[in-house]
Amino acid sequence: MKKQIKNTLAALTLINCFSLSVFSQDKTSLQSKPQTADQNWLNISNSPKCAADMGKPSDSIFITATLRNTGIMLNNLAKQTGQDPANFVGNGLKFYKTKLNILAQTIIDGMNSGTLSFVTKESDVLNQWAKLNETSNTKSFFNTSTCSQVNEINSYYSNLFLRGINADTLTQLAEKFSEAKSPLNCDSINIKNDLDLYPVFNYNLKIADQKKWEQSGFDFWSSFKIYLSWSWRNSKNSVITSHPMNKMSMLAPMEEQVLLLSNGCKSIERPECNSDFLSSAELRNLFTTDRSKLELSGSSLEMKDLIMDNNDKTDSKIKETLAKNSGDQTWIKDFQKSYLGFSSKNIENLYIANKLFSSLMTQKNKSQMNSDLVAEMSKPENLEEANYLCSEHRMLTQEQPLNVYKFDLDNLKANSSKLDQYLKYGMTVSDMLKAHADISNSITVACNVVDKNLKTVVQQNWNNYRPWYQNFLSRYQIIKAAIEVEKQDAPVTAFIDQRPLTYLKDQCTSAIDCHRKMTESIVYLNKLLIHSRTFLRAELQSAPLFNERAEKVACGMYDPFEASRLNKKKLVADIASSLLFGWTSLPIYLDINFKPKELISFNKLMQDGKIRFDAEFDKNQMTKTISLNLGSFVNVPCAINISETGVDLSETNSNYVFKGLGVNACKGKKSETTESPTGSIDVFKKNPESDLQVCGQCSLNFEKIATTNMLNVYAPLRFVLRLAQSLMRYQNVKNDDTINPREFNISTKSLVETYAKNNNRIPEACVPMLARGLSCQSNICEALAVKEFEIKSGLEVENIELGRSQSESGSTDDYDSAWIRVKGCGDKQIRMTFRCSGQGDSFWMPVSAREYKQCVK
Amino acid sequence: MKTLITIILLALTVQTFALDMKSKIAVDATGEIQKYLEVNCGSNEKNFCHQLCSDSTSCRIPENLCQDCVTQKSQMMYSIFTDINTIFKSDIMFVENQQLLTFLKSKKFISIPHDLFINMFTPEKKEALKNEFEKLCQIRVQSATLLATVNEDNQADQLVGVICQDAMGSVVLPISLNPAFANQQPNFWENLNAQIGQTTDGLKLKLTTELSVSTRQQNTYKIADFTVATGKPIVIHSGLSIQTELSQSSVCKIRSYTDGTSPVINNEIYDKCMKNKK
Repeated sequence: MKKQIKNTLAALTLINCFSLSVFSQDKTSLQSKPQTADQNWLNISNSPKCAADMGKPSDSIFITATLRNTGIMLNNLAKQTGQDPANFVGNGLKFYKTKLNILAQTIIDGMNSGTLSFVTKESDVLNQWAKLNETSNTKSFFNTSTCSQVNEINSYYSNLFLRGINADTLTQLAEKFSEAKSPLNCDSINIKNDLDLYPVFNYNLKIADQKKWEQSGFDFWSSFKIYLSWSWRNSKNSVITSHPMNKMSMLAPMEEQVLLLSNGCKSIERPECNSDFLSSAELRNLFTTDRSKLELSGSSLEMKDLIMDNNDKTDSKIKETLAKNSGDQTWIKDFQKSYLGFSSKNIENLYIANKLFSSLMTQKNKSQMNSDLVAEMSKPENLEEANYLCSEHRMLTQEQPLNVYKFDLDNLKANSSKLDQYLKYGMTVSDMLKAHADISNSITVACNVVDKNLKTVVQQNWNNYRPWYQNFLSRYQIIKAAIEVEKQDAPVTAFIDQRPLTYLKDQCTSAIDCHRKMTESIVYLNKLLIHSRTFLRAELQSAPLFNERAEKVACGMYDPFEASRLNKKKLVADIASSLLFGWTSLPIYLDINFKPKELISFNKLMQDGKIRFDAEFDKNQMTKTISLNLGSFVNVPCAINISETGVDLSETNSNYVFKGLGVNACKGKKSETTESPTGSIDVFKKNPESDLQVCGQCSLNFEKIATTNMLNVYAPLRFVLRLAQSLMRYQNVKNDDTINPREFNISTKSLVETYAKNNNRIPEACVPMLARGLSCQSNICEALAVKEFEIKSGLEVENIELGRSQSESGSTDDYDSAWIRVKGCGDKQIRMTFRCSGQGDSFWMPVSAREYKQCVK
Repeated sequence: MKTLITIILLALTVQTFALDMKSKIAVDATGEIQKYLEVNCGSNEKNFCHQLCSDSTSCRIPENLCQDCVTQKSQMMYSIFTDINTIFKSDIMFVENQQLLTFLKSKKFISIPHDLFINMFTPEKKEALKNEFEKLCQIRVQSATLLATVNEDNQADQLVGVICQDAMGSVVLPISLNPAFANQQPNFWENLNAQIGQTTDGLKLKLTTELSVSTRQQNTYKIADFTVATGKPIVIHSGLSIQTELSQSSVCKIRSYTDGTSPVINNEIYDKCMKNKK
């Protein structure tokens, strides 16, 4: 059993390629000497440390393959051709995995020996590949490389998700390592012909010269990807080409099935602030997001938000679902499934948009569509749907004051050709955008006409907005919560459109419907463009999966060493982004006949005639504008809040100008009552038992102004949803004591031993020692002595006793000698001169060969 | 009982006269996947097979497994398996033998039956997909198999035709983009004609013989071939051979139901056929 564990641990060395530089932080004598080869280390970094590591090239990568499609194909084929499915599929998959590893190993070794030089494009590969026959004994980067099959030891990697340690997490890790079996290497003889559709292989390089590696590592992996991609189709390796399944293995593009992930916090690609990194946040979210909710919506704004978000939620969720569920072996498989589904969904939206635009422009010309739209929108029965179209359209195209999507549309125009490569038929993306620009004008004009003729407030149902619109606003959960409360009062169910899809065969019911779907398509195209480099590009892909702050570092939004400074920066960014929801000034006034803190919706105020508008503006149009701008918020009951600053209170004939809608958010469980300028309003609370419940309150803010000023004041109407959340987050992060880079390197040997000695658990007292890479002894001084002795002598300590110092200070924490008994050296005790006090301060223990030579065999 | 015998007889007789194409797949003794198109030539099509593979009864045209076919990034594959009739449309003027021969001899194609194992988009909708494919044949058939070209790298290139198969045998209808989806019309078969020095320009053809629905055929076989035919010996799928005087040929062959219901020749089909008579 012990032997087995030892093997296991040896294998783990490979997994946790450990950098010695880590110990420079540990001010003990340990830094003076390198670790002995048989030490196995478990590396756990907190988030800032992980972020700091991202600038270094990874020396350990996962090659993951998603063979679902290949598996299904083989299975279909087996049935059609009368083969035994399990055997046939198993053999096919085995070949796929074998081929992958033969090529990967060839390339890695070829580049290390220098026979394959770094390449930047596929056309350079052919010349290089011919040199593979040459032999070379050069070892440019690493001494050895190894590969292990990860499938059976998934749980080993849970430390990658840990961002802190305590007795519980260490106990769980120890449990895994105690039970673990040795991973198999990737030789074809070890690859089983089983039905595992999601194999993962871990390649580890024992880097010889760290400095050189840090200079070349990113080029190494970039070349590796180009070589692998090329050789998959062109390698003349006879083991591969003579195999009956080789053609089968090329049916699906390898690049869509294989993904490279960095094992740990270092990177495969040189981190840059681009859409790759932006979407890697999305990639990582695939771990935690409910796959059924992989609705593609929104825009790059979401990505921007993700950068600004703390992502702690993701982090903690990963911890919960992965690290703590030690029995769960499926995380990487789940991830791969999500990845595949996400990519398919993305590209499918492009085809759907292409079909819609192409069919529309072929079957209806622009002027016909325009006249159809105008005709439909003028009918009273279509008013509600027209309203949705106008709201959605304005969200996408409005210019003022800070457009949510404007930037994205420009970006989309500039880069549309990148998406065209996926289109074989119908309109190109730039044609679609041109068509959208035309219809966009028609919609704007038609909406203005509707506004002008509006006599009443339009009924709205939140559920009838397109999902992208809903999702966009729902990101600010407060809105969703508010809407749900509203629904409790007056339940509204989504109108299910049962009209036949006749306006455009099988695609839309009416001209309005078509226009809404075109608007939606543009949002999806934009989303696709943002994701295309990570999810759809033809090259092999890689992503910083375990470094949840990678993109933030790359994009300058996260400075791992200056977390608190960053936090302020982030707050400012949040405040700026809350302006995204600002709207232009609206001259709205309130009649003062109301009770303060009364809950009332804007809609109600308007219906009751409490809202007055500037005489210069048409009332109906203003009502409509408010309705559009505030969306469903018009119906949300809010407190009325009056600021009386700057106004002479003695003036009786006061007027109130609308200063905007204020929203405060809180986490329901932690604070039952919320602090806010307007006091506590609990109506938005729902499901008190729900853990992540969001409570909130909104207020319609009015400012008292003198009558004389009234016509001159155009109060800004601001939507400040973000602000409250930002402030909350700022508080949370400020109080976080883990904002500085920290890393724990735990000896797996000590971990397993401690676990075994203490009835299968790690005692709390051992945590500080284990965290410093020490074995667990009765105190830290003992632990340091054991460590120092073992490193210097290469012997194993059986037992240690410390001699108390009788020095003048009289401190009980001070020692002056250590008595060490070496394993396999009988009862012989070695006396060591020794000094240590407190938490290992001023540790000093000279070790010379003379002292332990009697125990050396 | 009488009907049943008739049908059996029909099946037996007809197969021996007509051209018959089937997409097949098998795994050979070495474990390698063999995909091929099996062409059987009836007594009236012996020349076809002979030209194709020097065997007058049967040919086996090997196909390569197409490279990179199974991908969500192929709009063609996506359209084929999810929405074929919106994006594509077949032409009722079926592909002539000479064109077909040139096409098959090039060996740069892949045949795609509705249950081809590479369908990752709608693998669970086999029956619905069968119907969608068969809609392309315009009349009721037993099966429809798509034909797509492949490029030098053996990647699927264009969807160009559909093999419509019923008890009478097979015909290939050209496929191009649905005009309701996009206006651009790739004219693969016309290009092929140009390459082999033929023309299908209907206006240039002279028609001397016209066969209309034959009462006798209807009574006997419960099928009707409405044929606007010229040129070389042509085969009507009832098994009759008609010698015409011209050397060039343009055939508009309309297949009717084989289950005994009356043939329907709609205006579109009629007009299209008649256009060639000028």
